[in-house]
Amino acid sequence: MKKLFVLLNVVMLSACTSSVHMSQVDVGNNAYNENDIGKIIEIEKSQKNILGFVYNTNYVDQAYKNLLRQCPNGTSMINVEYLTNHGFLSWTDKIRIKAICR
Amino acid sequence: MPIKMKSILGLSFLLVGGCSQLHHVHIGDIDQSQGSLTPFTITVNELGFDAAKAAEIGAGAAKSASTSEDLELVAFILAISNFGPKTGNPVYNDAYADEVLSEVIKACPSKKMTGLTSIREATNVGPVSGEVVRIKGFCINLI
Amino acid sequence: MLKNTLLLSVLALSLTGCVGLNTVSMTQVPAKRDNIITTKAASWNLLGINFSNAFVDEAIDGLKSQCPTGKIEGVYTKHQTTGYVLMFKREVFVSAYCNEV
Repeated sequence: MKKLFVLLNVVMLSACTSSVHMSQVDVGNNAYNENDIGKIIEIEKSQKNILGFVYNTNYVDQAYKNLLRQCPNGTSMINVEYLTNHGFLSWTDKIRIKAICR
Repeated sequence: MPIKMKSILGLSFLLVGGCSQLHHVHIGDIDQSQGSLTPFTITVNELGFDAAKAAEIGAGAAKSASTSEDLELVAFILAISNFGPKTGNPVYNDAYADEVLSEVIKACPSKKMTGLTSIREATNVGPVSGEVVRIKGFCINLI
Repeated sequence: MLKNTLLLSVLALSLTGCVGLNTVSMTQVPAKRDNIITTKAASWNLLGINFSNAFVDEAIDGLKSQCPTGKIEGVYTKHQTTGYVLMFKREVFVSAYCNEV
C-alpha cells in the first residue's frame, strides 16, 4: 500500500514539468503610440528531442520567418520566450514569439 | 557520517542555497532624449520544485537502508521522467511568463517606454525555488 | 573494462553533432528589409572549458563591416552549442538589416 502511494506520487510529480530558459521583451527606438497598439500576434514553434539527438535548430529560424511574414511593416514590441517541456527520456524545446506589428 | 552531522550539513546547504541566481539578462536601448524617465518593473514567478533532488536528499537522510534505496529509485524514476535541459528548478506551468508582454504594454500611462531590461532569475531554497521573469524599464514622460 | 570503453565510445560517437540551443534574441523588425546581412562566429573547446567569449565580438565586427554607413536593425541572434566527442562548438548566428539613414 505504502509503495503504491509512493509510486502514485512519483507518477504525479513526473508529469509535465517545464523550464523557461529565457523571456526577452524589446521595444523599438520609436516607442509605440497608443494608436499603434494593434493585436498581439503569437507564434510558437517546437522541436521534439529524444535523448539529445537533434542536428539543427531550424525551428527557431522558422518562427522568425513566420514573424517576418506576419508583420510586413515591422514590429513595435516583441517578446521571445524559450522553454523546454520535459518528458520520459525526451523533451520538447519551444520558441514562443509574441509581437505587436506596426 | 552521523545523522546529526548530516542534518547540520543539510540545513547549512538549505540556508546557503536561499540565494538569488541570475540565468539570463538582456538590456535594450535607452532613449533619454524624449523626456524624463520613470522606472517600472513587471515580475512574474512560479514555484520551482526539483522532485528528483528532493528524493535524493531524502535518500541521504533516511534512517533505514531500505527507505534510502526506495527513495533513490524514486529519484531515478523522476530524473528519467523529467529529461531535458533545465534553467533553475522545473516548474509545473510553462505559461507563467506568457502575460509579460501584455503587462509591459499596460505599464506606462504615456504609452511610451524605453530601456527594457529582461531578467530571468531564481531564488533557491534547496530543491524549492521561485522561478522569476522580471522586466524592468522606463516610462517616458513626454516633455 | 574493454566492453565498457567500447560502449562509451559508441555512445559518444552516436551523439556526435547533436546540437543544443542556448539562447535566442531579436530586436524590432524594420519595415524596410531589402538589404539583409548575416554573420556567424564560432569557438571550439575541450570538455566545455572556455577561457574567453571573445568570439561573440567577431560576430559584431562582422555585422558592422557589412553595414559601415547604415543603421543595423532587426538583429536576430541565435546561440547554440554542438557536441562532438570530448569537444564542443559554440556558435552565434546573427542576421540583421542594413538600412541607410
